[in-house]
Amino acid sequence: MGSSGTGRLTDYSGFFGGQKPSPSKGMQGPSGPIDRCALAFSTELEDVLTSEYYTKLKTIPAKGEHITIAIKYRIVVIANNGLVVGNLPTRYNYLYECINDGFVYQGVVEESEAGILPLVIVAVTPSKS
Amino acid sequence: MICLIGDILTDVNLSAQPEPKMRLGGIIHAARALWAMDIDYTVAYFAPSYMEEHISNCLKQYNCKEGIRLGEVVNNPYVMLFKEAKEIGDQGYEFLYRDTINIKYYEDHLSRLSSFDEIFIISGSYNINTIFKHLNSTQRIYLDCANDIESSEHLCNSFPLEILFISTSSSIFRNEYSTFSEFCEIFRTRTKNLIIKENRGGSIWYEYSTLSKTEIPCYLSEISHSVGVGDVFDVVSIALHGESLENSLYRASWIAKIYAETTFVDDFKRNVKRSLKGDVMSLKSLDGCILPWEIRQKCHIYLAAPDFNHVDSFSFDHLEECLSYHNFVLHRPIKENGQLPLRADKAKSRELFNKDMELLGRCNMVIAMLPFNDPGTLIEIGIACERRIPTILFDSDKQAYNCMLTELPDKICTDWDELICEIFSTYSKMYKNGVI
Repeated sequence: MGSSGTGRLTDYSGFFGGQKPSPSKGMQGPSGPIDRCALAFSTELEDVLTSEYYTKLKTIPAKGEHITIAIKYRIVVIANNGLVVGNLPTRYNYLYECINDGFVYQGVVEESEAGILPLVIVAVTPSKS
Repeated sequence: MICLIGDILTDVNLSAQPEPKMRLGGIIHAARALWAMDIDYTVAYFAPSYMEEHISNCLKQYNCKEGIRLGEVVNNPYVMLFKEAKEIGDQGYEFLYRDTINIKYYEDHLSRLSSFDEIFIISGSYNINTIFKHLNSTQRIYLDCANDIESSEHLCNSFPLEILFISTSSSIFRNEYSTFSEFCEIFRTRTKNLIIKENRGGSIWYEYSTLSKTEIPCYLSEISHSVGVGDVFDVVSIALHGESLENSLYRASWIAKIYAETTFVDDFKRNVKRSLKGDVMSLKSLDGCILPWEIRQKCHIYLAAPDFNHVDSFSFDHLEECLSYHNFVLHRPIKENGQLPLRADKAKSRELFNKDMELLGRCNMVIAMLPFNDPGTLIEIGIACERRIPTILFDSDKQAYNCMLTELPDKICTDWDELICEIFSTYSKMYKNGVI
């Protein structure tokens, strides 16, 4: 009893003298523990079959190939040859904010499986100039 | 300077993880957005007296120029509980002591409202027409009709608003919407612009002077809540002076997305700043979700699941409630066509099979739920995928491992928010391509 996050207001800087609550209270305080822009991630791409890499070349990039992330009609993955390989899932839409703030995202094709239903998984690492 | 008018309540999100989260709500959601964008503002509010110190401290921290208390709420703690904060379906708002609210209006404070150039009002438990009496036609007035206004007849503004915002979850929308054009007609003399906020399906802006209708996308992402997100959308769309309303609405849609992603306000502000560094054209080029309310009645979804009367139907019922809330049409074949009795004869089996296949053929999406390995469900997934009907497997227990089951469906979703977003996203593509 009395141990949940409803004991007091904590969602602005300056509450109770600006002291952050104990780290164990994960939802309290004005800021979260991480800046998501600085996180590396790995994900399967969407719309590979309809993206320009596959539609033009009828194949997908090989495992280990270098890729970059860019803002186009979606947050997209671009191969070495400049063609769009596929789209990042919408949960990565926040990269729009990160890229606007100077973050750069590069990586490699982690998994590549051609066939009737091609699969591309990329591993992406952020950097900031 | 803009003056924000509304209630200030205490919001309690009971479903927040890893623990419930309490923060100030009501008009404070809009205040957070202006604070995040470094825009000057004043807040005029109704609240109980016991909250005064909390409110004063909060407004100070959010750089509010002045807090004007328009009235005192008595006999009510002004606490709102949320059972479900992501608006997967009906959020189950619980407004404590809601039938015993009494408000003492401060006339001398209300009279100050006429001095502001711009007024943004979110309706609440107070009498909206009391506010209107203190405003005049030289002011630019914006209003969001939240749940406390049941009917358009309760709006008695004597001069037209700049923008009237109405959400598809509001009472006025649920009570009076029949078609888009008829709904617009109701407010023709009361506002210059109407913006209907349609949750994950985006929003529609209707301008009465030009009769133009503009669809603004919703940007989907992994959200942590949806409380106050519509308020943030409103205030951003009116506060970005120097931008066209259309451009502001795109910005508003994006910043509303950011607000839904976190309840950590410093993170919200940082991410808003980052988003504003991007030019609006690049934002407009991003493919968001557009799925108008009316179109969703063309979205016929087939439930592939062991929806038998001896199986726990909680998840199936919940899906039906959520989809109905968002105006989609879910078909439960076993409920619609009947359940095959034990040792049924061949003719009865063929009859139900034919009916289910005919129903599947009329649907443009399949959602499969597989609490256990049910052969009927597995076969229906196979048939749907072969027919290129978009198929989503909902696998909240992460039980799917067979490669036919994991690779055939267009998408596997493991939580409800992801499932609802995927339904919106898939139908949005179909809508844009003219398929529905």
